[in-house]
Amino acid sequence: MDPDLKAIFGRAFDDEPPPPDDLAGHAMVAGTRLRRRRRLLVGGGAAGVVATIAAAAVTAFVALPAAAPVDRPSPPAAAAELLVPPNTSCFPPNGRPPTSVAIFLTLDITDAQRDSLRETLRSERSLTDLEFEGRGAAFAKFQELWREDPDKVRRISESQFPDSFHARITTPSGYDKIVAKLRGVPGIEAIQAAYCPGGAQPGEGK
Amino acid sequence: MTNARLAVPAPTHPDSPSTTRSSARRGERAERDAEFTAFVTVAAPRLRRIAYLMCRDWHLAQDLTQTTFTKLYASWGRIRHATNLDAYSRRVLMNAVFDHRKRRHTSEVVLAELPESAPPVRDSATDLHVALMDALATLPVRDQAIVVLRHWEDHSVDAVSQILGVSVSVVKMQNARALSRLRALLGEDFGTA
Repeated sequence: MDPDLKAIFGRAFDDEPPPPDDLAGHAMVAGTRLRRRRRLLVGGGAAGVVATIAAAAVTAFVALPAAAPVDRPSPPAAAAELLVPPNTSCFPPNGRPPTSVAIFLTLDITDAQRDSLRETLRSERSLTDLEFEGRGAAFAKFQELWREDPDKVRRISESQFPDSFHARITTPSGYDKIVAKLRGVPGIEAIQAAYCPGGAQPGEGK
Repeated sequence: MTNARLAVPAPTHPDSPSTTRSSARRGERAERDAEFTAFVTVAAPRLRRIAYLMCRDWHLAQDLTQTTFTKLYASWGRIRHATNLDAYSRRVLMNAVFDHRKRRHTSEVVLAELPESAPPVRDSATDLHVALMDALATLPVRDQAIVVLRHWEDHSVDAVSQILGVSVSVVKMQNARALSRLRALLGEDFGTA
């Protein structure tokens, strides 16, 4: 109709970023969760499960300098299963200020280290809604999410899941502050950020 | 460890029907996922550009594209053989765009009146696309969708009406209205570039 219009639109993509990694993979994991949630909703299944079914949000791990010797366990493969967009309202930050953070603990963290970390996080003013998730709860979530894929559930055991802390970030620079503060703190396996526009939390289903 | 053996496609034993069934199901799932991945590879760049024209923010465009594929995968078993998958994926994307606008508008708090700004001065045709995007942003969101689908993506009036779920006459009318609005905003630059 207006061939010019198309040509002009075509010039609007100068700053187009490269395509993201593994879009299909993320969509498949998040889509599987979405399907499960829908099925639960349709079946009138436990609403509580629906609300908590999605796990931690996503993005690349922030690798922390090893505070312990190199022989500590590598990031549990199990946790990686949860590191994908859990719902359609949280995304990898892609350069935006993260609004949520998850801190995964090492499998060999001591009670004293965990208590000390909890105090550190609780006193951090750029964090709010701090929650602890034990490995049992994480594993239960994982089992529920992947109930249709028993092979996958069988391959991973509860002992491979890490404990974790989750919190909402209240300031744009909050995430960088947390990462800096936690550098070298023992017992941390990985820190993970998510961007949830509109104040959603990773884990809140839509 | 013995369980791990189930992951290997086992030779068929008449007395182990469950193993056979589950490996067949796995094969089917792998095939379905491969199809989906191929579809994403082909469709993602175009969907992301549509989203970008609608929102002018590459991050958001990426998020909306991801949301679209997440929803498509959730229904992939049902829709994978649909002949109009391209149209369907655009419908899902546009719905994600509309949802996002709605959410943004209900969560935004107006802090102060924005100063009236004079129209930006443009000195050449080099940033005509900026002017076009500015003008597009002033249209109602469905008109924007019609313009983008019709004039960037070259969909027919029929196709646009199917994607957006509105009648053909609505598409025609709103398209004409949108174009004249764009012409008015862009002045003589438009249509001669």
